[in-house]
Amino acid sequence: MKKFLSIVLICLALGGVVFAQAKKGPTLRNRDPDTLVFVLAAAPQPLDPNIYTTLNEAQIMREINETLIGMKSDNTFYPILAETIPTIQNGLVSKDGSVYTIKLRKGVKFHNGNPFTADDVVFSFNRILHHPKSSSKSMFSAVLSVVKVDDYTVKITFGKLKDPEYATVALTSWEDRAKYMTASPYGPALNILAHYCSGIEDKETVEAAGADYGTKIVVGTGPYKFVSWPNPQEVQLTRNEAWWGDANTVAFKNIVFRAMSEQPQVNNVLITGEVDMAFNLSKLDIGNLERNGLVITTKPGVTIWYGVFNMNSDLVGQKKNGKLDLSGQYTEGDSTHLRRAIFYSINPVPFIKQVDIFNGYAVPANQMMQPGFLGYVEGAPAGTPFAEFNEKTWYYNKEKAKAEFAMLSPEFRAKLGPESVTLVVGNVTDRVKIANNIKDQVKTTLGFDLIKVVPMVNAQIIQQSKTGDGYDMVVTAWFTPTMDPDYTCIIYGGDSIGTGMNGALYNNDIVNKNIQIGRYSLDRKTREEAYIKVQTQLMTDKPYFPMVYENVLFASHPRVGNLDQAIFKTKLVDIHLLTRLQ
Amino acid sequence: MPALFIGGAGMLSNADIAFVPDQYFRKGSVMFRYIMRRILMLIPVLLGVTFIVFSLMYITPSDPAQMMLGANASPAAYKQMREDMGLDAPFIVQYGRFLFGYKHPVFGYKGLLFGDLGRSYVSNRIIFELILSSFPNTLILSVGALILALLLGIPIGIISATKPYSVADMVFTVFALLGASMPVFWIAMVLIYTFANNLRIFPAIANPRDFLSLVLPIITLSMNSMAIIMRMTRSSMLDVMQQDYIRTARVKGMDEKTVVFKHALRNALIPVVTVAGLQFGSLLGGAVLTEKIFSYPGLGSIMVDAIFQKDTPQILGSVCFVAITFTVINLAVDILYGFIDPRIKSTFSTKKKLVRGNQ
Repeated sequence: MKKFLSIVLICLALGGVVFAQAKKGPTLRNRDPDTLVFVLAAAPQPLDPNIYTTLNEAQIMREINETLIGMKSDNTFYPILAETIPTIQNGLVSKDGSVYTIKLRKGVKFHNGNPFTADDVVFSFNRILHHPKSSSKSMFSAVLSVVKVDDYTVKITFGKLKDPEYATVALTSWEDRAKYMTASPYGPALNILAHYCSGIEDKETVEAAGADYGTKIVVGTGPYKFVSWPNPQEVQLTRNEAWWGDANTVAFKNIVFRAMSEQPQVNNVLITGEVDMAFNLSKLDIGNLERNGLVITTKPGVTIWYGVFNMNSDLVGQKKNGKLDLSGQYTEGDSTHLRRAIFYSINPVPFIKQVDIFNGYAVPANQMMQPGFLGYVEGAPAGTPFAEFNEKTWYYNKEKAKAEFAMLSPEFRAKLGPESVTLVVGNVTDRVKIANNIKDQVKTTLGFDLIKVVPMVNAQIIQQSKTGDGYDMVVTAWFTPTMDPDYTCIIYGGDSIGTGMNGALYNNDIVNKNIQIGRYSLDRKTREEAYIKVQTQLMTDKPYFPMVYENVLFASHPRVGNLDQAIFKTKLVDIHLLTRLQ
Repeated sequence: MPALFIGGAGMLSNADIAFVPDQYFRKGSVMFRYIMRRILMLIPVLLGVTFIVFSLMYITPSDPAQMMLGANASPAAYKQMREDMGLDAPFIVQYGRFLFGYKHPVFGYKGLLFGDLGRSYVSNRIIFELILSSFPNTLILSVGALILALLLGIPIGIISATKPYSVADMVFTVFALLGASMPVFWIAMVLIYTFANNLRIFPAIANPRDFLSLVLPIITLSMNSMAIIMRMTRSSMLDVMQQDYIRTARVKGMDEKTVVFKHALRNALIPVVTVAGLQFGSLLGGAVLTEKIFSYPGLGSIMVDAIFQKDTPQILGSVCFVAITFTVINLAVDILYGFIDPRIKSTFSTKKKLVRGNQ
């Protein structure tokens, strides 16, 4: 008995030591204090900004390859490799708004000592637009030509297709662009020049490196230079002591980027102090991070979570006599009523609060445009569809939902069996949880289990969204890296049908016309009015249900400072702006 | 591979080792022919594996062209990309290209038969270069896990077998049951929570260049194998301990140590070696979760990333590589088994004599 008791006591003592919640705070675990360890959500693609576009490599490349123009965290532009921001007022933008003359900064050198010149700019834009592997062709598709004027001046001309029919032609050279495009002002011109994909690369190095560029050889003009990529999950950079922007202002000598996709493990390594900064956190456990001394930074982001009603669907779409009814004015039929009944049954507020989905790090969305963007409708103006929105219950209205459901014809109602409306969703835990929430909300409000949730891989959803076959609804998210409304309009523009992005196959004349006005105007007020009309029409027709604007959320070691200036709404961080507090 | 011989080393006397190359590998010997036959059998097996893997990738709803182009690619650009990548060709043509090569200035490669699947769609690295650079890291983890599993599993198995149904045996049985039934990710998280977060003894991120950081992933990975080896040793030892020759040895007055280690263990370890070999193969393939949780730069992490990103050539390359490794290890275990089991050894010797006699 004594023996047994002593074993029990020893076990309890050991357990006490092992499971005691040690509130030690993150240390550096024998790490070099000059090195900042930054967590990426997945292994980066090659560090070649003209070709690859995901957020992981973008975070690394923005410290290596600089763009002509930059955007601060408050969305204002500033010159980087350009000497000044071109405007009509300073004469660097042509009067018709289509030609931008960019005066390049002199005396800038690439990390290998090569001088930065206009040839590198022309070369980089040529790769973005015409390299077979380039994934940013569509984002830069309004660039008609990039021409060298002298070693330190380039002219960038924006344009549009001479005829919309030419959208079926792949433009693979500057000659093709000249043949099929015509000069035009382009609203988001500065935004795309500030986008990380237009980071300028060294012509000589890229040509010499061939296919190894981006993995073994990487060169830029930025505050950090590439050191090594020992394995796919780890990239090492070091400070560019010869940086034209003054290397003395860069606090951390080295950066190590580490890819870690397991969110609970990201929280663990933040607590142990093995890493300094991460955004792919387990939201469930943010409180624990704070209790362990980590700094939590959150701000509004540019990701919008939304639902799609397939206009091609017999159940929730907009058809007339068996054909798509895509005109601005349409006849309200059974499918219109069912669409509205579902719309008014949904309330995203509960799953914004749900600890394992957003855990409060999001706000309800009232329209298909991110707050702060040009054309975002502020408040709830009377007489508009936005008047039905409020922060606490979103557009949820049980009476309206039931009234719309009651308007269904008996024949149509008879067609509706349990789970007859197919809601497809990316096979990712968060998305499936949101879709199940929607299913339950509709069931509770209408008293009928109408929705069937079908998880699918994203590629399949994109494929089906090209033709609108095999689904009635989709739940998905959109991210606008350019910070310009034109990029968000891809979701609902008629010209996006067939690309898989306009999953609703929504094709409204008023919306299309105003998107074109916004895209091809420089005047801010004209653009704003056009985008407001787009949002008003969208919320009238309800081919989408905007649900949530997700916040950007970072956790960082207490030794890292100036987070507010360095962290962007796009989840990217200007690491060279960070400071060292310890 | 070296770990395989740890299990077998105790079984081979110096004379046995000297005997092996001389008699077994001589050209025309039964063992030589057996090995050659097994190697030839690898060809259809591997072809079958590549066909199944390729077919699965083909029918999986993934679209590398779309992935490469990103959001909002125009239909024209999408069509062009599919042509460039060779995705518009029929299934059998694509499979043929996968084996024998595809000619294209950007997306071309020599084919699996020539050890070249080109570059990854995602990382743009040469597929087999990436696999071969990360495989040693996985090997370190797997060998470490197998050594730990053998070092603890065999002695515990012996103790359990020599004192069956004792308290120690019960405790170890429960331990084995837990080891076999606990999911890897759960073990990993408990170990990290305890030893990294709270006690701060080991780091939570594993790195092949830092031994201390390998301790937790090795323990995680070895738990399952350790339990199996432990149970295998126990049951095998129990069987052997009831044999007549053990009783005879005891009756002759041999001390218990000699009986257990010299007479019983040598025979009991034969099935353990087979299990250890199979475990090693599954450790190589099964390190995926452990590598992922500990952010370890091994083959498993590459495979998981490739699957998530629909990086078809990287998935195909990695799966084929693992299949080849697994098959080769199985072959090695079979050959090793033939060497260390005296009964099999004598069978081959007898057959050889018979063959010679007939000539």
